[in-house]
Amino acid sequence: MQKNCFGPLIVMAALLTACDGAGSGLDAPAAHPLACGANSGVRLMSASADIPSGYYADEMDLLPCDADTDTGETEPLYTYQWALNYKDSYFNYFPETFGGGMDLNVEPVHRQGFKGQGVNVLVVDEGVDALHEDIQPNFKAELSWTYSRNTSRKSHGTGVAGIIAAAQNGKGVMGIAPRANLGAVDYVANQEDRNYIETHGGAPWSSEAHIFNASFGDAKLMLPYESEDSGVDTPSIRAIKRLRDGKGAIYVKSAGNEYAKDSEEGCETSGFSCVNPANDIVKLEPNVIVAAALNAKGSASYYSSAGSVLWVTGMGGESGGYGAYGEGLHPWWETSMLGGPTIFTTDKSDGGCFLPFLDYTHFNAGQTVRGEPENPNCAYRHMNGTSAAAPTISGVAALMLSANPDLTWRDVRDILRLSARKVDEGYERVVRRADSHPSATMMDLRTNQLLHGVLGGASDIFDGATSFPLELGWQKNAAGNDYSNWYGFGVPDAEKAVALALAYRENPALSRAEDVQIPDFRPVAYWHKDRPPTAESVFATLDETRLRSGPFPYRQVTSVGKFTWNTAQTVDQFQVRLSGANVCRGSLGIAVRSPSGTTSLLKQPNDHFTSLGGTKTSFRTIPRYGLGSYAFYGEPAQGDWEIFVIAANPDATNAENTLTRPCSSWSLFSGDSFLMGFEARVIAQ
Amino acid sequence: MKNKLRHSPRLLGLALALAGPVCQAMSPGDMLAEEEIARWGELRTYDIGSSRIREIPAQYSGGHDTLLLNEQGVVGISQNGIVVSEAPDNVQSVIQQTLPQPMSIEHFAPTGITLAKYASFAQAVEALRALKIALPGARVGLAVQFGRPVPQ
Repeated sequence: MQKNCFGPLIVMAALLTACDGAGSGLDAPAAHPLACGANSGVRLMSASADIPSGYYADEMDLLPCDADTDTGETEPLYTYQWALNYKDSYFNYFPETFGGGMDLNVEPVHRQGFKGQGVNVLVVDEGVDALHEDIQPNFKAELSWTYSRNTSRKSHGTGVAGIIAAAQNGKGVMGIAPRANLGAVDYVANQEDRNYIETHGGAPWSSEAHIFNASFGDAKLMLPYESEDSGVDTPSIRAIKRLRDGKGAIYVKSAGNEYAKDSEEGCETSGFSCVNPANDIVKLEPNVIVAAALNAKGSASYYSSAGSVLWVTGMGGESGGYGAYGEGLHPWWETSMLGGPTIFTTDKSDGGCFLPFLDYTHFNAGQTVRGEPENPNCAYRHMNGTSAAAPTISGVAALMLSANPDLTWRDVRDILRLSARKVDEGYERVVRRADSHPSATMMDLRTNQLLHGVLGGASDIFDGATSFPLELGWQKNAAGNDYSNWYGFGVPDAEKAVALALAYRENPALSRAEDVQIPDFRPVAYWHKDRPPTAESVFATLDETRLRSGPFPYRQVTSVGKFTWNTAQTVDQFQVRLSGANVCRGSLGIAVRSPSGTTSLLKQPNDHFTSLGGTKTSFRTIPRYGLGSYAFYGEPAQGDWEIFVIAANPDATNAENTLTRPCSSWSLFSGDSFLMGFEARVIAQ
Repeated sequence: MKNKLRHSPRLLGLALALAGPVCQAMSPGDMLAEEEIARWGELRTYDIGSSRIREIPAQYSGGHDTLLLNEQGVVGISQNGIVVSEAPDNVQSVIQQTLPQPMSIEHFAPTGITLAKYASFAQAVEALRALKIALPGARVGLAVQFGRPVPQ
């Protein structure tokens, strides 16, 4: 459909008047003139009164454009939306916090006219402001549910919704899929079993969702996976594969913001992901697309949780707390990675403005900076976190489904991977943060001290080693897939993803409709001292060669043994499940080497479990704890898999004294009885 | 993410702490110290698969929910439900005919999940064992929550 429309009217106005902490030395630009069409030869336009929605005219400047194929240049805040518009972003004026990065490459897709038409996206959050001027045009009540009358907690969900599908209406921002249908449910504020089942496709309204965006989670606890007390989560997530007439709904989930965590977590400066995303058992499900966050410099956001269950990386930005629009540096940290722009989106429109203090930017506080008030009612804001990154991926998925509604959940996941760009190559060998170290630095397992200046790799993980590398960086597996615990398969390129979606439409034989195969876990090994497996235990079936007795092998890397997979299949995900008693779980790390020789770190020793308080048993109990890795994706499953325990010292601090001796309160002695069981399985394509 | 005071979980925690005694502020995901647990004396214990779950006395839970403790001292909550998935079409009648009988059965047709609720947690555990036998091909589990997801 062709339309005539006009760029929203923006006054070319005063230069930047306030830019605390920006520190770039460059003159900040005034507001951009905006118009329909990228090459419309726009002239500066004069101020005007309010303009009717959907038709923007000025007697002086009639600029024809095509609403179906325009990029977000039609929206007044588009210049700040670097995730859509990196090259021409306002933030280019701030090289200390911007540059060398990328966007999601959505503009070519928007010019083709793919904007999420016909795709239903359900925002599972605390609620969404359905009356917001940028949400209302796409909001569908029939896709939504409200469990509570408490409407005060809608800011987060409204921000998430705007990133996905804020309307292209000449107001505010534009979503990545600005014509997708938005639904919303306030489950996160109303957490009951029944609500979870309903929200996840169990009700008529939620069963119409094509994409679920879940920017929430809980990865603090060590909970059992696939156990009789695992709750409703796993069955509900698996069951959404029945939706979309059996093609399966798409489920995108935020990785978590716990790479660098408060000192109370105990591993603030340990230089690896403090909290493992896999602790949230939902993220172990193959039909869950776990999204990490990228900043505007093209590397992982300082908070973005890392781990081997990540699938891809979206845009989250850095802290965004300084300067006029989040472009500023942290006032006293000496690294640019602790400042920089975040993701501009919608905010609940009745929430008022923050007071301009602490780290709230002028924009978020509703202050005028660049001429005409851009955010006078604070109905827009910029937000960060993997909460922001996940909806950027949901938005790209919506573009793909608008190009090809027949894609299955596996197709969407495959295409995101196939379109992904490898970013920040070599990141593990450089210092990313102030007062830190390269992430490939070796840690001495006998002392929990970092071996500064000594970097390692996958080959340093072997039976008997007394140190290990904290991070392995990008690895190309035997199937030719590049994988990283920081980025998953990388950052999707929307243009390429939509091209692939169209190719699948052209050739449906490319599509994969069948489900992945999730077998039961199989016992691999059992270690103990004075606690042999009982007759009821799955480990009682193991032969003598897989039973080991004696002290638990802390302070070293130990091969658990070989896990032989006899079926000629292709790997989707490899999983390990641990059951233990009287083992210092915070000291425990796990690595796996595939039959093809690829190595993956599934759990770090000295992670946040070292400091998680509670009972004596809480430090020492491992309750059928699940871990997973996509590093082997596409490799042959058949052959011998080797599982390594990387066990640190349970009774020593680390270099920064941020570990308070993982199990010091109840010191472990080599003579203590314990049990530790290992199970594994290959989830096959 | 973190730079909005209106979403601060710490403030929420503070509010809960000020709202009343510790026992009334318990919520899923809280981790209790041994001395806190010891105040309740000996708790009713259930062996569920390889897990051992303790039931916090009803006077501390309020409402119709049951508060639980896992082996790590983490507080969980249950509405005494059993969740059944990947079950045959007659799942509701099987549940209805299996003892103990549920107080309610709700089937969520689009995803094929069934939630049955029982009069007590003890009955739910009993039903779990019975339904695993009655529905051998299905996945049967306790509907319990030990975590409390937050926006992230």
